[in-house]
Amino acid sequence: MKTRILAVWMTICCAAALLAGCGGAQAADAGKVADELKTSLAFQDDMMEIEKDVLENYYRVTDEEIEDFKVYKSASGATAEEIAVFTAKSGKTEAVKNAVEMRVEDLGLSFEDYVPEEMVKINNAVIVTRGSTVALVVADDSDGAKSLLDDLLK
Amino acid sequence: MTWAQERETEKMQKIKRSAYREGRGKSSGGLIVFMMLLLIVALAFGGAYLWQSYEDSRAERPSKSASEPPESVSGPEESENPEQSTSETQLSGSSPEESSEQQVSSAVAFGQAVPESPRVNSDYFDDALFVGDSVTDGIQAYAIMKNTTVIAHTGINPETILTKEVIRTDSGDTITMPEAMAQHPEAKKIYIMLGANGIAWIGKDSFIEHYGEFIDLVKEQHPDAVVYVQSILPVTKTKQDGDDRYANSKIDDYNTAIRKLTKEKEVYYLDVAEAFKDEEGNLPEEASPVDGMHFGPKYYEKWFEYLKVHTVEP
Repeated sequence: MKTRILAVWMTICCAAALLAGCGGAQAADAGKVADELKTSLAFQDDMMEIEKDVLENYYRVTDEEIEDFKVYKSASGATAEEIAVFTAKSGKTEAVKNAVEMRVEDLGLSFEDYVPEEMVKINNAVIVTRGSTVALVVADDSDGAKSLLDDLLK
Repeated sequence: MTWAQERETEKMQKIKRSAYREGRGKSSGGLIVFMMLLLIVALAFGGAYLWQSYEDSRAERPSKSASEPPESVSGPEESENPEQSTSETQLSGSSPEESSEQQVSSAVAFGQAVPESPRVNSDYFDDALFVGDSVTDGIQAYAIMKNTTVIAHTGINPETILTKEVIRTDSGDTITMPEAMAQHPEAKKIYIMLGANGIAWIGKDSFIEHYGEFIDLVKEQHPDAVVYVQSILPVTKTKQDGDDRYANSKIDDYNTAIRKLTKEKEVYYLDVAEAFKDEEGNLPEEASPVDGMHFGPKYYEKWFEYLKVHTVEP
């Protein structure tokens, strides 16, 4: 009897551990990833965090679609530099990804006449989706951003 | 003729005379009444005419002076210093009544910088709409005035604002900024700031022509709103030395043209640039170390402090 209970208990623990492992891959800490990107990559402008109540001015996402997020944009607005990391709610990853792609389009509309040099960064914007995490980096070093995201979202 | 006949004749003559007197009295009484009526009517008409003239002159005086400030003190052509001309306007006038009227008119004069006024609270901006480029976008990015509405797009300028579809709708489509503004009919104050992006490559005449078209559209869209047109802000010395297309003297020149435009379009000119300039007329270096144009929250606070003490009554 004791052996059977132990076996059931161990099965439950293994299942929980597996689920936790999967969950970890899907839900990277948006804040930590964004902060790591901010400190590891070089940006021309100071990067300013976007508060939740103004987020929808830049990203068409709703509370029903995102679990967590952290966004930095060019503080002065003089550059197109941006970092955005979202954790999507179940089944909403595609919607969040669309919102991120839309933001890149908007940046293009903003800078194409204003500071055309910024279009290089915008055209090379890095968007990575892993599990429920969608991340965007607009920076000079797009290759560096991509490899960093690959590491951070393993 | 017998005595009796004589008495009868005399009696008849008396009756006739009396009748004549009565008749005469009646006709002269009617004449007096008629004359009095005529006098009353004449007085009534005269009084009404005088009152109407007085009311007309009262109604005309402030609006005329608002749109056409006194030549001797107010014309932007005469004075390049809006603040100076405002002060002069306020000081002019000989009688207390004239002085009072001059002050009212100078406070609302189109084509002059809106003078300092009693400070309003933040709720003044509840029904305001801020329209502009990346500088205006900072109001929402820095969450400076959360109770107000901002329609801004980095890179927009007077030439593109009417036609470029840059504002996302809830469905994800893009619309022009005027189309987005039309979705806010409740706005009672509209603050416009354009130009920082255009002065480098748009000629002044074309710049003003497009700006004027935009103002016309705004007035048509929001006929009951107070429309404020804000000056282009200065850049740092480093910025102007590195790129003379952004020289502050050029910005001042465009601002003078914008100010004249506000007179023509009958909207209010806000010389917010004065709140940003250092003693040499430049944006302080510490305000914008990155690009010499954009600045952080500290200067947004200065901007709003200026707006709070430069308002007009609708």
